[in-house]
Amino acid sequence: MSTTIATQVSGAGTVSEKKPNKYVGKSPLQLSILRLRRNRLAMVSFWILMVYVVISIAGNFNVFGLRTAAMEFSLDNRYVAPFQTWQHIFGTDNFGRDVFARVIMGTRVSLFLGAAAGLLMVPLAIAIGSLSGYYGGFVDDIMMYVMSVVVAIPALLIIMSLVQIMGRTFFIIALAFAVTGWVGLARVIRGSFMQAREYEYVLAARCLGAGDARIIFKHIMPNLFHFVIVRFVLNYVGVIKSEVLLAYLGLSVIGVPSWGNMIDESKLELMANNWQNMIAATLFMFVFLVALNIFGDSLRDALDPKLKNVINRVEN
Amino acid sequence: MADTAAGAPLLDVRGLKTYFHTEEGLVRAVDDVSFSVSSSEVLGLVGESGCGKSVTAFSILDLIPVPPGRIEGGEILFRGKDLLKTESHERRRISGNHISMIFQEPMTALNPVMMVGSQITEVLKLHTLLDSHDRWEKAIEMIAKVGISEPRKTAKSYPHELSGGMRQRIMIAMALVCDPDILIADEPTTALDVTIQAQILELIKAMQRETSAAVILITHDLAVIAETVNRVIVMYAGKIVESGDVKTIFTEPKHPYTQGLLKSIPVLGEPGKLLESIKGRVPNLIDLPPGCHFANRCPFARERCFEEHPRLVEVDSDEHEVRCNLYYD
Repeated sequence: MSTTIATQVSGAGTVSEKKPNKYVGKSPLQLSILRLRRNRLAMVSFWILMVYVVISIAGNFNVFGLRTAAMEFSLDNRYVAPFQTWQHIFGTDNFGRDVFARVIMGTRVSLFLGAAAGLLMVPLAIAIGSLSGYYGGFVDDIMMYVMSVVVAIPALLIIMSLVQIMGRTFFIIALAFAVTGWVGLARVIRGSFMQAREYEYVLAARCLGAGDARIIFKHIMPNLFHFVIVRFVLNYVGVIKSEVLLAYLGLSVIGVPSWGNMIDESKLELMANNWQNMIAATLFMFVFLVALNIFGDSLRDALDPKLKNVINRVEN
Repeated sequence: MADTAAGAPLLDVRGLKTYFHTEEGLVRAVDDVSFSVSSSEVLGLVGESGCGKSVTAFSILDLIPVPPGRIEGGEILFRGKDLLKTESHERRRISGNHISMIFQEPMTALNPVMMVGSQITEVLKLHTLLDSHDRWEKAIEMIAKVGISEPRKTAKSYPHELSGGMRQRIMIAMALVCDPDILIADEPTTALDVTIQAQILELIKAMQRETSAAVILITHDLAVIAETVNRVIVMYAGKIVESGDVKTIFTEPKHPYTQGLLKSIPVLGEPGKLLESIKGRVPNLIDLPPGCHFANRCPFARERCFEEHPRLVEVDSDEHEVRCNLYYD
């Protein structure tokens, strides 16, 4: 008798254990990810972006002879029209190089450039924004002055001169984008630090004996990561678009195919009614940027749900 | 830290002056405030908003925002050592370990992106040599001590999952985890509803009895003062206007301001009686009148009160001090 009761009780226990509330004990970041995963459009964009990441990694190695097809001249095969042969599904360009292989190789450059520029930009913005906002006063005055100067010079001018002087290499171009792109994020971080240093949990940390570095990195910075993530994504969009502009000016990465280089080359080919280079690069870039933009917006909504409600209220 | 000589106060604040240099002018937020706290004493600091209670506490813990604020004078002696003259790293070792604080707003006093357990271990990390496992166990023990059921589960939750009362309990656990000698509670119950207020006060009292820490309780709620503290300091416009034993203050208040405060407490069981209030407003701290700061609201104000700033004088017993022209010539 007693055993049956015991099994019943334990059975009831397992039933309630089977449905744990998945929102309990989750950090704000984990909750944001849960919110993001409920957004179908965001998840579709996310998987599109993942496909691009795979493509760009593939472009880095000579998979299926991609690299050879993209780089080798074969002047007998100039301007093969697209969708004519399986071997050159997007056709070939001015020098007989396979457009499909080139567009995939170009994905690599654009994606890595965006990532590298972001990874260089974020630490710079965090360092300057946090110092300026946390210490205020004299430090803030100097940093704000630097920011004003950087903003006052047209970004393109800085990028062009840096690339001209230091060379058209991948790293220098990424650095040039970082040098011009950090001010916006630094300003946001500065403002948030100014607010946060008055918050009671920061005062509490201080009065419990935490030092400045600990307060900046452990107590305030994790609260601002949503700004950093969103700004990183939006910066990515900007860098990819700017790369095209830079290529058009003849200043993009030298010697390897990139979306910008392909569009740049197509300006001559278009006159001969050969549009495959232009369309392929633009299409790849368009899909990527749309996905990135949608994902970035959803990410912002998921990370900062209050903001979304405000926008909805304003729109209604 | 050997125990101090018998009778010597644990914390001795002497002539503390904390001023804020604002665009409108100099604000004397705390002006020549002196008091002392001995171990296992509960001291109440009362006064209305903006009278300098919190700034006094912030000065003790070095939390004054440095521009515009500045401590212009005075000494804060902790076990005979002047905190205002110690190096900042030394001071950080003292605050949190020997002096700690509970804040007014439990909603903002915990970091929203850290598990509450980790926030408690943070303190231990700074002040003890315990390894991470022991720190976590100690945090859980502390959470259990402040009366939260399921401490293991609570330690892993984030502030947004806890109610105001629970957050305040976590704050208390955080403040007491290193066994401080002095606990400063800055309006710990203001943001909570009345039933939770009583629980939190009871908890602070229980913890105080257990650890025999000294407590400085800052509040504007006289009911809280009456049932919790041993000694009261009444502040007005940055100055101490009356101080003494809690019984003396409540039975025979001397300063007209204290009298006004006590008259404005509603009494249960006396319906239909109009509640008295103190007329007028606190003077702007930027340009204080030369005389008594309370003179413009004082029912007993004489001509002398508008000209001469009163001294703090002893009345009746040696513990009872009043800053009022009525009590000396």
